[in-house]
Amino acid sequence: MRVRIVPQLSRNDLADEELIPLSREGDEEAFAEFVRRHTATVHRWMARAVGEQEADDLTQEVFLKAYRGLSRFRGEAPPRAWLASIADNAVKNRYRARGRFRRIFAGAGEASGASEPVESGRTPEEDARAAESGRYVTEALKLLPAEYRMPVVLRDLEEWSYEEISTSLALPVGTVKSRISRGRAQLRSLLAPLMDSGKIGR
Amino acid sequence: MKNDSSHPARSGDFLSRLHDGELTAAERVHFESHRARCPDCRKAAAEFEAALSLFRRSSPSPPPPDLAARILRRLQSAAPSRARFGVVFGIDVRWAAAFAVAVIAVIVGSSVVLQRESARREAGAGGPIPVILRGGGSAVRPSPPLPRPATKPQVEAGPQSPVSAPTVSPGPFAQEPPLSAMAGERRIRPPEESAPRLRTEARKDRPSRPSTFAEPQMLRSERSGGEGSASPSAASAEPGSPARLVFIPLDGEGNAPDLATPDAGDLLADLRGHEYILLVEAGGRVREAAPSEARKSARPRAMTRDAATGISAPLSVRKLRFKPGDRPRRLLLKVQ
Repeated sequence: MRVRIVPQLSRNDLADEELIPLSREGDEEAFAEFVRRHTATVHRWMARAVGEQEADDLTQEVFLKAYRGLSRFRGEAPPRAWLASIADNAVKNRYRARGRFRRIFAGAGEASGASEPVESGRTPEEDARAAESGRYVTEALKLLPAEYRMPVVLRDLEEWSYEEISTSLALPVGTVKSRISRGRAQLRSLLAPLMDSGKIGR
Repeated sequence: MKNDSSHPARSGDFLSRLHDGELTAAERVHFESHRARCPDCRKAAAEFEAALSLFRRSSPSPPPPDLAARILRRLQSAAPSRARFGVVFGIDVRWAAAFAVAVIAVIVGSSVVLQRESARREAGAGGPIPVILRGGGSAVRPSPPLPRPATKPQVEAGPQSPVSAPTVSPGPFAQEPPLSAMAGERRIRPPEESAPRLRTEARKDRPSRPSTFAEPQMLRSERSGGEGSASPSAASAEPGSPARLVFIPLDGEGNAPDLATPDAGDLLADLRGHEYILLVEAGGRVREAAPSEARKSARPRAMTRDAATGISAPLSVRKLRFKPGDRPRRLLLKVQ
């Protein structure tokens, strides 16, 4: 056993890998720095995965869960990957809760997971209007099955490698790839009206 | 129509691999020649790329500027007992309740102003790493500061009074309130070379310090050396910065480990003249160690005295009561 002294050098200078163990041992400022450092990133994920209206809320949720789960962080993956897995779960939970709600009250079996293209339920005219803003993309993404969203976000927005995503989400690489390819295919279907309407070049 | 092998771009998986550059050479050659004469596949591939490109380009709005602060506030309110001490989260979830039971803390110390020392030290570059220790406010300390200890030097076995047992080793810091003032029996004999590491700032009287979650901290590293992150000398804090934490693991009996290590020597030298609060983690909870808990108990002997360093257990810790079944795990020194 050794006396362990927690250094007081600026947390700004510490890597994530150092901040998390410090946080776990009671250094609030270390965790605060971790939060400040990653708030924008997590928010960006969430703005895509659940939409901007809910992104603030879910970003907070992710950090609260991270904080509560500090003791379970084992350091196998980088802290950023750990955050992503928490974010992934938060997205799935939110979507699941909502899907249940919809099924009960609308009687519709909305839960999907199928690889078929998803119908946006809009007319082309509506689509054209929605396309005027980037919100359309968000709306499209919100129609993806929840378990596809974070993988697609991490791959195509954040440009993580499949291996990183696989480690982060504790999924086999093959599963990650198939989720991403299905998610992309659905995105293409969802965004096709936008392209047909000439908003973007072929 | 359904034959994906004749129209590869009908497969999302194929397009995905195309996008990622994961097609085999043969697949790629085949697809290129096919695409040249198949409008459907051309369109599908173009749409796929366009959709991903649109997705990538559509950058979401940035978060509201105060989002991080809101998160920190929520964290703080989610852990009120932790925030109170600002030190002890992350070790055991049961603590939250346990803090209600926490007894009272130790100790003394006053901040030290050693401007001349600091000037002298700054002149001596290449020496020990300079640190700034903030003279602590008394926000978390439940009792008023004890009187500044007398400067009379004292050697090994001293009185048990928590207030009057200064140990002063000759040297540049002889006038500094010794750590022993904080805990009756402690005797500090800082190594000569570790003593000049302190550069303290004048105490700033502050109102009760909120949890560090409450506000961003502007920490400035004072380090000049390249030591590892666990270096005991890496202590620097500015007013408003969180207290430094020191963790000392205990064995199952509540005994501290060998304190004769260089780390411990540095640590204890750094503690001199600063307020600290002793917390003991035991039985899944953390309690403050308190001199007012005057009930004598054999357990735990939190620190053993070491002949080499002359460091001995703080009185307050030895007087802490433990219930049977408590397993003291470690001490936390909150130094401010």
